[in-house]
Amino acid sequence: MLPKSLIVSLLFVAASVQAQSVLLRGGHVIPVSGAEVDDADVLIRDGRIVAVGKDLAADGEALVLDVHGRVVMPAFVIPHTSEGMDRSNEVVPVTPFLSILDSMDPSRPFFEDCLRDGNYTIAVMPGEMTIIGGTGAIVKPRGLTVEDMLIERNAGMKLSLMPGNGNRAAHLAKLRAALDDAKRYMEDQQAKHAGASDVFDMDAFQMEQRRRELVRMLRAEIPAWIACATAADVDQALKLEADYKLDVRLVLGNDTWRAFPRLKGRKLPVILAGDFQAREEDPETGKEVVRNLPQLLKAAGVSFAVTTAPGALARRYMWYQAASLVRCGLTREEALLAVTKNGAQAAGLGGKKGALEAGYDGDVLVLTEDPLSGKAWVDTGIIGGKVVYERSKDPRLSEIFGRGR
Amino acid sequence: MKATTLALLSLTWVLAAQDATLFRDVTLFDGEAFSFHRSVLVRDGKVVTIGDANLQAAGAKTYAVDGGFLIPGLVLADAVRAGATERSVFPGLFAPDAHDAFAPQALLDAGITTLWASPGRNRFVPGSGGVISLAPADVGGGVAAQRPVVHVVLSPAAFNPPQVYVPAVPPGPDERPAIKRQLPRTRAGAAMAFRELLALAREPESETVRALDEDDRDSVAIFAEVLNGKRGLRFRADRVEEVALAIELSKEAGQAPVIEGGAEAWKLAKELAAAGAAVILEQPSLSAAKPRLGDLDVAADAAGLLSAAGVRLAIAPLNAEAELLWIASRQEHAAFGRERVLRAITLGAAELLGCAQGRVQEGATADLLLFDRDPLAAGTRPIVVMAHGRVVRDRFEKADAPVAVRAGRVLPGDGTVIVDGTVLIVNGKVAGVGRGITIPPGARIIDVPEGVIVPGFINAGTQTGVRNVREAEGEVVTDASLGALGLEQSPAQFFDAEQDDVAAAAASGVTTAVLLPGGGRNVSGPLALVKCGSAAADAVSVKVAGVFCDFTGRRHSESEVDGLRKILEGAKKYFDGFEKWKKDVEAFDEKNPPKPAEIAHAVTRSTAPPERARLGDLWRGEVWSGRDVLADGHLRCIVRFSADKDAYKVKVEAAGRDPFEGTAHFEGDELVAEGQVAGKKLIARGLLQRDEWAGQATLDGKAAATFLLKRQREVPAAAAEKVAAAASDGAASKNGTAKPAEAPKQDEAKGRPKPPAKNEALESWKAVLDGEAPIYLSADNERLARALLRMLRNEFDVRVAFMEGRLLPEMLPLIKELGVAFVSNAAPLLRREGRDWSPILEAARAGVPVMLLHADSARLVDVASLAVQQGLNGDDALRMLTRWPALVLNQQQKLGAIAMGRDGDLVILSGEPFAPATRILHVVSKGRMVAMKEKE
Repeated sequence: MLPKSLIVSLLFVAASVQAQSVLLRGGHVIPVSGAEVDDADVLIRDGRIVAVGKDLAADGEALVLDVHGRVVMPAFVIPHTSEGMDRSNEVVPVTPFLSILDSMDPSRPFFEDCLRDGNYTIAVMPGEMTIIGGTGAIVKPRGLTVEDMLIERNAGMKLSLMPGNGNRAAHLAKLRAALDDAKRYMEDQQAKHAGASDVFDMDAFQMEQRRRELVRMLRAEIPAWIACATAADVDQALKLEADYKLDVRLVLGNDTWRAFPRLKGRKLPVILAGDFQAREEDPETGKEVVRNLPQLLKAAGVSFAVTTAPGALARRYMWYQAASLVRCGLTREEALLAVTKNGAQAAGLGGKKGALEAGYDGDVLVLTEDPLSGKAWVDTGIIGGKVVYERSKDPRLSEIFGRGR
Repeated sequence: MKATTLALLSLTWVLAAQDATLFRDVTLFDGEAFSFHRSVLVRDGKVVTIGDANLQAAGAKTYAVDGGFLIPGLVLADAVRAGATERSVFPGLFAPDAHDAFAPQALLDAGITTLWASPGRNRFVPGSGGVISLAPADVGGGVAAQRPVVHVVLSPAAFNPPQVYVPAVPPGPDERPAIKRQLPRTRAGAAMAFRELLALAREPESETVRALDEDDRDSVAIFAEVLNGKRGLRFRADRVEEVALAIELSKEAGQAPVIEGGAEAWKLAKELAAAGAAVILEQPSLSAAKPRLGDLDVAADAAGLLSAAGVRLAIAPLNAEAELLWIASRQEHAAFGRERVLRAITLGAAELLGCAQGRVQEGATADLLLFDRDPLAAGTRPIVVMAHGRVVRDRFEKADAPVAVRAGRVLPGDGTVIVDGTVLIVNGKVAGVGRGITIPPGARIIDVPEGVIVPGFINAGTQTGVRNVREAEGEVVTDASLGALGLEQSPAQFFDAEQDDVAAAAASGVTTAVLLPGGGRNVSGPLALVKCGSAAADAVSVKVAGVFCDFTGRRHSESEVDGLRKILEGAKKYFDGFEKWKKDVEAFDEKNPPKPAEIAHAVTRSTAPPERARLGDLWRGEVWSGRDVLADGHLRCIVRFSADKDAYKVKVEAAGRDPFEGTAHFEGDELVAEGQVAGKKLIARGLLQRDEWAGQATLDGKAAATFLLKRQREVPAAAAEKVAAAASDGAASKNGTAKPAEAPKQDEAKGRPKPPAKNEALESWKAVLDGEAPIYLSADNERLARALLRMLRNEFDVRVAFMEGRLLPEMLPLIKELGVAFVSNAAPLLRREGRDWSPILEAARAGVPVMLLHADSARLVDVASLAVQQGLNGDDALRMLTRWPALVLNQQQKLGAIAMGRDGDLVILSGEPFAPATRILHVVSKGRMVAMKEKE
């Protein structure tokens, strides 16, 4: 017979291991997909959000967190970044066979910062300096190995229209040459294996490694993320979508605002990277004209997501980006959507991440204050119903602020 | 409800109006030929109607300029847009991809609305080219769907391709060497490479092709498109051998040759014509071989020779893309006339490139250029550029809104001072000066309570705004200075109101400038009078405002003086010849009165000046007043005059009011109308200019209203009827103001004396000999100067302005005696009798009219300020900048003072003129506010 204390402690351990439910009680809840509710509860079970409302009942095993005075919102989604890798670009211009999974490094401070800042869904894509950079992946910032971190193994192929050496026509010609070559290969394969049930079953036929991912992109099995620096690039991206029937996601820089009217009514996922304001000096009067890109996108009826700017002091926080959106003319609801739900949709995870709604994944943040106040910290972070971060136990913060903060 | 409907209706009216543009009464070039006095209506981006000079369109924005030309937008047949890559054969590169349709297009300033984007020039097959329209992206500009054309370069620039590093990616077991040497290196090699590509392209599915690497497979696929006609082919060839090779290779590819460059293509003109070739001739041509003397003359006529042989031709600049018009104009000569020149840069080029632009036809896309002078004149730029129906450059703006300036002091320039005065400028002219001027609604009001208003300054000699485009060593150069011009050209032809120094001049208060040609010849050239800061359309005020005679460096001799004398005598004889002819024709016509049927377009002539003779036309205009006089403050009316013995009867009709009838008579140049209105005595007084009557009206002696009336031109049909009626009364006589086209008809009557031949050079002397324009004389030898001055004043009685300040101390008495003016810049002080002697001061003290000049107009005020510091009276300094130049140049009707009817040129200062702390607050030039940039 085991000692009573041991039995109790074993039960306790068993109970805590099997605590599959989490109930956050009494916080100010921002579901993002609905109206904000004060003094409300969020119930997460088996990694999914089950209910959001007042006075929810917890089952016996639930981990109950008292979040009175705190703000509860979905975790931020970074829909496009090139950080977390040792090198974001290759030297050779056309490298469709590369995947960022081979260059991502879970131990980088970037992921630790994401955990602390509440960015729990991160789409890592190759950089903008290669014409065809390879495929990206969607990860969460917690895990020892890349496999542990994976949410989506193949998030899509990255194409960049920013000409590295300034020769835009040559850049596009190389891109088209690569796409045409893959198309020819596809037609060759179809001709060769005509009559087979599925020509492009990856296991049945050995697709040449160099062209495999391009073929998948041409068949719209994986999306094409096209990075545009100027308005002319947006035109070219739309042309590529039409010519090659791609599933396009646009990543727009801050010189693209002249082409925003072209995006009206097209329902393409749009991610606004770069600055939110474009400044231009009128050569006649010398006056500076400032344009707010979020407002222009809103005027064109395009719902979009935003991402962080690497290395920048304030812009690496998603709540700061949301506050900047409000400053640039969006409402609070639209700004919060842009950093959560829209980002998830742009990354292809619509319906799963980015909102506190029944059926969505349980990625939740408990903030010390309103996210747009500028002083909010993540108090508790939950990924898939598991508490992954607690500020009171953050070793780096205690080092900086001393104990008891 | 009603208000909304009205608002909606007005909105639609505005929208409809914005869609339509009308160019009225222009000389039209439609791509093939000229036609005169046409009007073109544009709507929804297309040319809708081409009609006669009096086409009207309700609600259309109308452009009408005297002597205007309308041509299709220019087509630039070759413009490198994509740089070279390292690959020697890269036909997949599509040069129009490098075009940014959203960026502002600088070439539109030069009138180019369509261009061919071509890949680089130093690779064998640098890429493919295509047509780009430079219209803004939202009206359909940018790259259109089209047939691309592969460019092949056969000139030596392509024969040194670099080595390329092509690693196998990803690396595999059977590695090829990574460094590839590229061909071709010689012309023979190029021919061979081309033929090889064609051979492979004829069998694109063969095993050899499949074994090639992907870049080469791409090239073969594109050449297969060339073979079946889906892509075109274009060769760059300059020398004869290259052109011959191009013809051959085109034949093998099954396409008609298109040659770009073509420096020596004229030598193979017959072969090219036989092959149905097209040539894009690039000028100035760079011939690789040293030009042989015999060829030099012929090469300059390359365009004429090619076109005469029947080769389709376009002209493009080798560098300096913006100078397309100038380069084309240089090809004009006897065998290659103006129509062909213009065709080569519009319709001809468009047909060659396979696009639909380059023409003015009903239903065609509206790419149009409006010029206010001959488009093929030196350095001209269009004043209105329209691309796809939208006006993208408009230098035409008229000063529409009236401007009223209220200041603490107004110095109108006649010696008086008006305290708390107002100056009103309507339609570019002064419509009121004084106190209590009624300001019309909608006027822009500038209030400067502590300020001083003076007339706009006149720079008596400068080359501000000159844009002299010329060729030097095979390149096109743009100079900001002129040399001696001779008398056939006026410096006005080289004046570009858009230059930066013109804007700087206007911001410094200089609203009028006299353009001087360069010196160096006894008769260097005519002077021209230009406006700084006003709209480009009427920047040139007077084309020939005088003559500049430069005798610097010449020593005194009788032959020098005699030379000038002979020129003036020759001119006088020429004009006497015209006078004699006029008298002879009058005598002849009296003896043989022409039959009424012969004069279809004669207009009744009277001995009164033309304005008064046509007072019988309809006048239409507006009146503004305070609300105590007119309930709305504004009135539109129609005015008719009818002759009544020595005066006129005037009838004013306005909607909703009783007609007003009164009498009118002339007082000098002012027309005064009088009558009774509602028991009060109305006197309306204003200056009558050619088509306008503007002035102030008083009721019982109190200022009541301002009015502006414009003459309505009559439709020729109505005029002809009137004339026929008058002719049948026997009152018709010979034509007083006929258009030149009609003059030959009358000369056809037998025995009628013919006019003497016109001599353009001597025409410039007319104003001088009539005593209306001055001669600027520069001579540094005192004896010669004295002799010339005496000769000019005593023998010919012409106005003279003397330019040499260093001789002034000795010559001042003679200058005063002869009544000569003095033109000076900031000349250094001279040392005379142990003291500093200032030419400007001494001349002013002696009562000689002094004009100030400075090569940099922005520093003109500094010249005057310096003189004031040296002791010149401030009023005199102001006169030197305004009144005296106006008098010497005989422009006192329009310049030099603020008075009714003169040009609306004002300088508004923050304090006393020429005081050190005074700044220029605003400048108004012909009623238009000048942009004042912050001075650094």
